[in-house]
Amino acid sequence: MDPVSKTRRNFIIKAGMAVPLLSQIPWNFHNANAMTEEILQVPENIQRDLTRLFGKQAEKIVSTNKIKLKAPEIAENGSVVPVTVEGDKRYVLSAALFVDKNPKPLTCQFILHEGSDLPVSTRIKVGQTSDVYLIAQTKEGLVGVKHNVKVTIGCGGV
Amino acid sequence: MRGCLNMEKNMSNNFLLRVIKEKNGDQTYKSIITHPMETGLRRDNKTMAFIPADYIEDVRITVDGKLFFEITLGGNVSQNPFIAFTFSEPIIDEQVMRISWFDNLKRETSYQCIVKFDKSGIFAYKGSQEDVREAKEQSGMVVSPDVVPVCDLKPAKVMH
Repeated sequence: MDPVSKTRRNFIIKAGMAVPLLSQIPWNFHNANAMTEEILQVPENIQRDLTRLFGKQAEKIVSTNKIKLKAPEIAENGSVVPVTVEGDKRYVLSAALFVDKNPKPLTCQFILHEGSDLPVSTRIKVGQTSDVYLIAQTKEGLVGVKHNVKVTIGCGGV
Repeated sequence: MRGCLNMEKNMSNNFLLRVIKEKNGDQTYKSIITHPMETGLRRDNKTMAFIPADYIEDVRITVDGKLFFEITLGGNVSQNPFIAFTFSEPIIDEQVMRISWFDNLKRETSYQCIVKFDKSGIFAYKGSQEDVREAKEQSGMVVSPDVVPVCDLKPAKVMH
């Protein structure tokens, strides 16, 4: 045992050396909150449809966990893929589904009027393995969820 | 009879509704519209010609004249589109639910169902295809609601 390395003096010196390192940790918590608002990156063909549907709102899509897209991870038959949109109705005004690699990405849009409720579900065609996007319009703006669906047998000419 | 051909085309349109009642009183409505939903991008295997597009564009669900759901579909939705939906307040008394849809060929079909729940929770309804009409404003034809009782819906079962 080396007695020198365990002295209190030695510890204080080492702690003093660590002080400059502390300044590099981001202590600004307001900035840290802003960092949690992740922006969902959307492919160009979906962005074009979104701009047509929502106009200027489509510029910013925040990724969220308040709404859920229930879909199988591996779909045996690409022509029938069951999808369910879950979430809080008071939060969601309308929900749209997009399949990235289909010739026309916009699949369906549910406009929820007063008195209607979530979940809603339907069955969609997915031509090949691709991402399925659920974009929901809320009072705060657009929010989105991404889900990858692997297709073993596609359907020709979706 | 005018519009007879269009009626034959629409004979294939059929509609099924089933209500599933859960233990906590929630109702889930599951519906199937019989429709080919051709995208227009698929080829015939023998002739290699494109099969013309034929898909539903818009579905509206109203209860007692009040619009609840407005669903935009497209060719990307599977054949015989299945739509499950819920209402925030369950239907208790007798209500008239009306489901109508538009084709990309500007055909409108609508179904009227009378949804009824007894106090014991027994669900019964009868429905019929109320009217099939073809909008032909461009050619100058007047749109008239021809009442065509085509087929009765299958009786629904209640699942507890």
